Amino acid sequence: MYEFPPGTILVVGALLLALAKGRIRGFLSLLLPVLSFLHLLQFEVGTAVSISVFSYELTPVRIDRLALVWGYIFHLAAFLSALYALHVRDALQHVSGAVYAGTAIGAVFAGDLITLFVYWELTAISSVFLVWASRTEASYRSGIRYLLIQVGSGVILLSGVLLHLRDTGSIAFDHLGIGSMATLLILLAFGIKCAFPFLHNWLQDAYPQATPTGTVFLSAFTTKLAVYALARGFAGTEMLVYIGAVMTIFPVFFAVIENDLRRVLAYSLNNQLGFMVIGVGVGSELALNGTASHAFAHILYKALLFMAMGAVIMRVGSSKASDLGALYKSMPYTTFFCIIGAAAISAFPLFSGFVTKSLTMSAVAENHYTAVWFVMLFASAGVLHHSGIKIPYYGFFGHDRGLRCKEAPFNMLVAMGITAFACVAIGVYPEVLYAILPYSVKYQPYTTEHVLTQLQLLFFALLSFGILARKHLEPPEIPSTILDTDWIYRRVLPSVLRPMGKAAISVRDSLVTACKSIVAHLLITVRQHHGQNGLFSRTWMTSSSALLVLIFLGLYFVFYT
Amino acid sequence: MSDEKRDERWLDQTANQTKLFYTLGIFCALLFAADFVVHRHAHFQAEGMYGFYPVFGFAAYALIVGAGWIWRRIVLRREDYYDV
Repeated sequence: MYEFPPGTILVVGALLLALAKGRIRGFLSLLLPVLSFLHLLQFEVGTAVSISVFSYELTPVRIDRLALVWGYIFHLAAFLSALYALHVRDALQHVSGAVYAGTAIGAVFAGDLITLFVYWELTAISSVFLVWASRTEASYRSGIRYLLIQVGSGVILLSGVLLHLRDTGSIAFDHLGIGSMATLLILLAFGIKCAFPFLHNWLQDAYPQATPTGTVFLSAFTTKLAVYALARGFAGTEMLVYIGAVMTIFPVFFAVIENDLRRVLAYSLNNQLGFMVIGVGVGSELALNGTASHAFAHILYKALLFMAMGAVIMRVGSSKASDLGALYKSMPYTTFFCIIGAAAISAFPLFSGFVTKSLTMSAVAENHYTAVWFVMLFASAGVLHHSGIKIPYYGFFGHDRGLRCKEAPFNMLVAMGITAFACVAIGVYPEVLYAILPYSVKYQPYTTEHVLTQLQLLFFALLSFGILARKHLEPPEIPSTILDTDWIYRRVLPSVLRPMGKAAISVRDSLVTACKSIVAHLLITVRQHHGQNGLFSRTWMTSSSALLVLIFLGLYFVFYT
Repeated sequence: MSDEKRDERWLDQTANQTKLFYTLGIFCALLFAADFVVHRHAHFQAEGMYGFYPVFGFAAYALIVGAGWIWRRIVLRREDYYDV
């Protein structure tokens, strides 16, 4: 009876959200994730529900410990995002948020690649409305680019799946590896959604264009779904260790000069995904536990940081460092929660990042990826820079530009408060999170050595910041655009394709002109012969027709008898 | 102007900022000293050296900011770059 896919309650319930109004809609938006979570708890680990469609065995529900980690955190994220968006009156955002969360949850429990593909595309289509809901020209264009890339990822996934089906006769979504063209295509599709280097820029392009509440939804699901898909299909694929390492590093250099703090957070998200991808690449039990726990903790602290920035946008109308400063005077609670998010992502002891990222770091060290380990350590200093310092400093401290505003609305504060509490709770009681990881955990994050070295790394980086800031050597916050790979498809390709398009149009125009003149000549000839007084349009008398027939009959008679 | 005056906080005074900075400095010195007391099990040789984490953290941060100055010369454009 209950064996329909997890997340369905959110997707179907979204219809009710579209019909309901006011407080009832608000209440429903909070109730749906709770009901959906209770539904998920009905399943036992190891359950698989299969149905036959056209001689193919589909498995829309497959419950195991790997999927459950994502299932739990996606539900929590759906609830917190809905709470954060409770004051929003725009039905479109509530509906697309619920459908988006529901389809992402459905995707996680998909046991076959066709079901995965369907959910994969549904998350793309439902989420773009959170970008478009800003209702600006820029968000519309950005949303189109986002949709093209996301749907493109789905199309590549489907091609890979069909090739894989031809090769192996199976559509089961288990370990795939990179043995064939088919699985490489599937990896590429996952890589686009996971914002691999050079495939990443849709993230920094679209997320900062979404509504303040929409970005919180967006930050949780799409990319972490891709991490899950990678962990399921490509665990132990060594290439991913190096791809992940690049992902941890390059966003750091963009984040350091980016002015829009929501875009800084998008780069930071990209860098965090790198840590998770490295874990997938290493593929050991410890590493996969690292990836799963990091995804769990990351969804919370990243949502918290986006929530704090969303509150700032709502109150001040901008998330640009060049417009902000000293908001701690007006928004003390938001500032406090933002600092907790910043401490959690920077992996300070007693916060969630500390107890999750170190699992992956240990796995990397155990498997002797020395260079990658040092890259991760460097990237950790980068995280402290852009998320630990830049976000709170430029957003809530820094230059006092005289901005005075109201504190964030109550529902936003409650959502931030719960999320902040979770960030600290995981940091203080990591056992609770460790207990739900895919494999048993024998890791102790709180050793004197680990706490000390982490504090040394972070506080000396802070000292470095202190000295640079006092010497005014931090790059100044100025309104600007940072070129990234979107420059290729927003500037280079149009500048190459536009002349080609113009040439094609002029060729077409001359062809059309030539054809028209041929047709015109033809018409003149036809008119000559068939028009008034034309040879073929004369009316002949019946007698002459009879005469002609007689002549033909006579000729026939002469020649054929 | 009078509003700004009334809203002056502890953190707005340069002297207090300096106090904060020196407190951070003292804390860092203590952390550095702790390296000689706590026995560590290094995964890699370099990591096991005294003062590795403090030096690495400090240098990495400075390097990131330094690289930012160079990187912005290459990829930084006007805010309306894509609009025109």
